[in-house]
Amino acid sequence: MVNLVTSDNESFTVEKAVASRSVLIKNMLEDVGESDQPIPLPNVTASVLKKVLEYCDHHKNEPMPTSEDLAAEDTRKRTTDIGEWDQKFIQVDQEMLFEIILAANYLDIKPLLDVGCKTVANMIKGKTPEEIRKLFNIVNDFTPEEEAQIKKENEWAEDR
Amino acid sequence: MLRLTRPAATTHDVPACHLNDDALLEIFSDVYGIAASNNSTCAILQLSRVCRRWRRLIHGCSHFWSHLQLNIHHPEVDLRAAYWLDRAGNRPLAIELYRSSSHLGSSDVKGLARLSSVLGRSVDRWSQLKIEADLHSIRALFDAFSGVAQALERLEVRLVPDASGPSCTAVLPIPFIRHPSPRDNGVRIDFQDCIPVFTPSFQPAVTSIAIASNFIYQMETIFHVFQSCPNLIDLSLNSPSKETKPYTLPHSLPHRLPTPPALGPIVSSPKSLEFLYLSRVIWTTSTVELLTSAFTASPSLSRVSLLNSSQVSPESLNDFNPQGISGTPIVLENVTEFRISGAPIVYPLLRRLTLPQVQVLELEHVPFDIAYNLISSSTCLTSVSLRHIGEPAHPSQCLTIPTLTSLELFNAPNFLDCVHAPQLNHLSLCTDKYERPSLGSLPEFVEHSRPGVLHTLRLEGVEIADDDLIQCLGMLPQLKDLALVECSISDTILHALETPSTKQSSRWLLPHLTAIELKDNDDMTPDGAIKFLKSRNRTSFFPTLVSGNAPPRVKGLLSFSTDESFGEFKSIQASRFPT
Repeated sequence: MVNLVTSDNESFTVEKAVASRSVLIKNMLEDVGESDQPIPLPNVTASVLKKVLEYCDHHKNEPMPTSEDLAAEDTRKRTTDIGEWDQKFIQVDQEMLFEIILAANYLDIKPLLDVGCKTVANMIKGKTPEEIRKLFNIVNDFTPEEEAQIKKENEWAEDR
Repeated sequence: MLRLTRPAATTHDVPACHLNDDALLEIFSDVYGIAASNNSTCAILQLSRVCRRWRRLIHGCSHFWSHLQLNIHHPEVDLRAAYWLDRAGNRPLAIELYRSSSHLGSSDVKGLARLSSVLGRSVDRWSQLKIEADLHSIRALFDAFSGVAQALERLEVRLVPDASGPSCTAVLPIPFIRHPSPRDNGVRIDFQDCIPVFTPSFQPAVTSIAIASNFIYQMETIFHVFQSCPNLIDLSLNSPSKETKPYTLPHSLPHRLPTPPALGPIVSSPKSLEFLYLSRVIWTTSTVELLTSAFTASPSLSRVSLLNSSQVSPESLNDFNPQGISGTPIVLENVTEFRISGAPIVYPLLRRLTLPQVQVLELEHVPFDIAYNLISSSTCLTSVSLRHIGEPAHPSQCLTIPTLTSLELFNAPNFLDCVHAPQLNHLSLCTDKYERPSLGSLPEFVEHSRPGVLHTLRLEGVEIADDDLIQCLGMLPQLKDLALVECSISDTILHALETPSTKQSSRWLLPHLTAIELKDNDDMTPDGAIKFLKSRNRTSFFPTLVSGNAPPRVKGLLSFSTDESFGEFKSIQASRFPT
């Protein structure tokens, strides 16, 4: 078993197979060898880690993506397909969704990062910049010069 | 792989701003990748207009700028090309040049020259080039696109017709140069309405050529392209459909066609050729020459398809002539799929062929002896389709094909007399509506083959007695799917197929039947069909199968050319097969 400690000082004891879905934790375990020392995760809160571990537990028996898989992903056409269980898992509020993506990024859990990013991509696709700003509460901070350049790009893009 | 720190403090304390650059780029890549190729650029430009941070990230990632989609008639197309190339870094480039659908005027020569000048500097990084424009513009572009196209993997050119467009397929010189390299993965060529001619240094890099044309072209031109590419693996030609007229042999022509005179010195087909597809081909001596070359000089050939070619008259299919077989035999050792729609000019070549490894054989418009010889030359046939096969000149010895699982005969009923296929899974016997030959040989075929695993049987436009068909069905206990279309049969068949009324009934035809299609059979009535379906789908009593399971329900597809009411049938359908 592995003991993980979150940024808000909560402890989680999980199976090694579950914790090792994170490449970061897996590497740390390999570095320290057999040890009871808790592993600190200063960038992850308890509520987010709980959710991440739920994902890792569900996928613990699946093969880890190899470096070849990751390399092939760059050339292969991306899709927004998300598995049925993953879809239900990722039905969370916007803040939790972004926290999961950050945690997956930090912990180096590529399949979870993919699920999170695809979910956001699905939310974004087909929307206008204004709709995206509204969706994510982002402020339009362009300078007038940048707005002019954007206008020019618009003309180029809309002539098909 | 990814940064482990949170991003620097953002001006807006909203969740989206918490995402670090790597995660955002991952999301942008997903949006870019999932957009249809026509929209990927638009999709990413939309994202770059959300806020300064997103724009900075997108403009700093060369991946999003390596696919250029350019309208060649836009007055600022050269500026746009330069803008994209600036951001694409040293990435391989996919370039798509098109003429907007609204533009019908002549090309802007100066604009094309400016564009060529900007793009031409990056030829060495092009991985894909697709041009969709009028002939004048395409020629102007290629005139300026000289250079070493070492990274090119795909070249696609589609000719868009204009007012002064061509009436024949245009020949287009491709000026690219390529240095020999052991790591060269080859170039795929896909042209429509034009035929490429490559420089000598580029020819060895071409591994695949697909040419489709709406216009007439000289086979000789194709032939030269074919010959010029020594490492060609895949050749696919799709000829004009509207120009292909039915080909009827004049009666004055001798039945015994000589070997085409153009066969003299055999030209060298690429040794590497594996796939040869010619669709709607017009049979000429050049076509036969090309085939002969491929058959004799390309030992790797594994798939051959020459379908939808010229039609021939039925009389010309009966030109059996053993003495006419000329030339040495040709054994195609590695061909596993062979599809050909023949014509008399190619019969001498086909008579020389042996296909020991062929698994899938589709023959159309060939005489009986050619079909028979090709079938008998293989030991691993799994699927045979014969269409418009002539009458046999002599009785032929019966062939047992233990590997055959699918047999489709269209206007070739005589073949049943000389084939046994004990592992047959699918059998289809169809004829033209007005010919309707007798299928007296079906019971004999079933009797001899005993295809206990036959699951699908389709009879269309055939003359067969009710008793003969019932006898056949009695020998096909595993049949699941039965289609009877425009046959000379009556309700007697349906009556025989009804579920027995008592458990003691020893004879029950087709207990595993799940689907039946009945269409315009001579003496089959809607009443008979309804009675049959009611019998098969009743719930009150079923005899069980040998396995102990209840027999399956039968779905019916019924079509009758009659004014009779189908009210009762509709009510059955609604209650049994709710949608």
